[in-house]
Amino acid sequence: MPQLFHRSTNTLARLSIVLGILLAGGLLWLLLQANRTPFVTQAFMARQQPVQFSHKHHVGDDGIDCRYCHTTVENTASAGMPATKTCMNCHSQLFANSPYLEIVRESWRSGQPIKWTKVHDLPDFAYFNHSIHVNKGVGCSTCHGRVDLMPSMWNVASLQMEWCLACHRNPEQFIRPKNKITEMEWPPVEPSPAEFPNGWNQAVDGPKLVKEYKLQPTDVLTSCSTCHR
Amino acid sequence: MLRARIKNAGLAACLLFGVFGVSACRQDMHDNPKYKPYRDGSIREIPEGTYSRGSIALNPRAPKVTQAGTGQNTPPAQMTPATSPAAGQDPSGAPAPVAIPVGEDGFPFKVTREILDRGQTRYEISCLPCHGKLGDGNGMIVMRGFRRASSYHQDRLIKAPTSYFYDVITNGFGAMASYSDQLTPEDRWKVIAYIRALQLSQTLNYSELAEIDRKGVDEADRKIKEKAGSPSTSHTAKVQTAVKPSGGHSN
Repeated sequence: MPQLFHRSTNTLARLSIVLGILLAGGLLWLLLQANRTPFVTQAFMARQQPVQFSHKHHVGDDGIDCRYCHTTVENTASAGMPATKTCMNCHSQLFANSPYLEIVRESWRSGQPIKWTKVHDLPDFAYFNHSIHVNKGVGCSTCHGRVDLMPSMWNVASLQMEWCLACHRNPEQFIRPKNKITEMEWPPVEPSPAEFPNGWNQAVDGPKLVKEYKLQPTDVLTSCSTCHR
Repeated sequence: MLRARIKNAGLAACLLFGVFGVSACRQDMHDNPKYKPYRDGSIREIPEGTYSRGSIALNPRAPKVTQAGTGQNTPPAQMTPATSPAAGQDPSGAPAPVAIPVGEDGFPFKVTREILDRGQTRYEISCLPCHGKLGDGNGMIVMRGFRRASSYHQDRLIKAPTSYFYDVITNGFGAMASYSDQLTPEDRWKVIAYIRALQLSQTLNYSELAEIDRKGVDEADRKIKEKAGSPSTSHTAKVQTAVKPSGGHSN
């Protein structure tokens, strides 16, 4: 019986083994990368809400502090969603007849809360507490981005574990003074000389704050049970 | 080669299947069938007559606590002037309501720098939108068309007792809604302390200021002049800056 394959096919066979491994590896890499894209994480995707509420207007234009509405951010796990009454503090008079706010007024009349769409929906197997972050110098915009520039809300973070760990491994790269928590622009472009005589340098001032605020060492911050409890 | 190709395709299919298989379980783990705050994205109003733990001691409208420890709701009585030293003592022998311990300055605690700082933070969160950074009633919300907020620097409010401010924060006044949901009783007193500081800041003469505050005023003054580009005038009347000229927000 003559040989079925020519000798050159030996090379082709070896090559196809190598290529096969490369292809499988590449495919795996591609899938992992795809899993990080906004297509999967839904980052940068503005959510539709029952009311056309604009953070850009309320935070950016009006300069209202985050904590006016998210009152419990410093004390509890959840930052807190405002009750309809909080809306009515101002909108009893401002835009009081606007059709855009009819849902708010309807909620005020009936006592039925508005059902907002959650934008940052962490998986239930991850424990997260706003208050500990805010009280240890992690600012709002560090995770939520420039909310004062977002007409509709979207998340800028993937909320994936590697994103959490990026900070838990190196908190000194993200920490800021506690009284600057709700500052949207951070690090400051023009630090006030009264507060920061030497300006703000994350590489120098970050580690200082980590010490001052007594952050847990990174092996505790990255321990499984810190977040999965 | 063909066989290798089939193998590759099989491997890819396995991988794809694996990934889809994993993502199929994904949502079950993400959304456990358990209760969490704001699970359906909404909030309830706080039911009337509800007080959070620890807020009673500083709340003149909190339900009376009897000796036996049974609580009962009392209808909102006339506001007891917090400055009255006899507040809380009932001569009839009935169970006394929890008294607010008040000092002579009308505050239930000694006003310290920390308390003023906390008061300032809370003021700038909850009050500044309408009352403005200086407390003159020129906040951003007023500029947007809300009914003008009271200036703290009018005679009526300079003379008003601290308990009056507490009452207004708790129950609202005119167009102003109650802020009892947003400010804890303790924070309300701290905000009042800061309001007192604001009032002081607008009536002090430059010569009465401490050295460090004078520097702050000079600095602020210099900046204003730089912006306006006009020649300077001497400090005569009232200081035009709040206690701290620098801060997170401007209005």
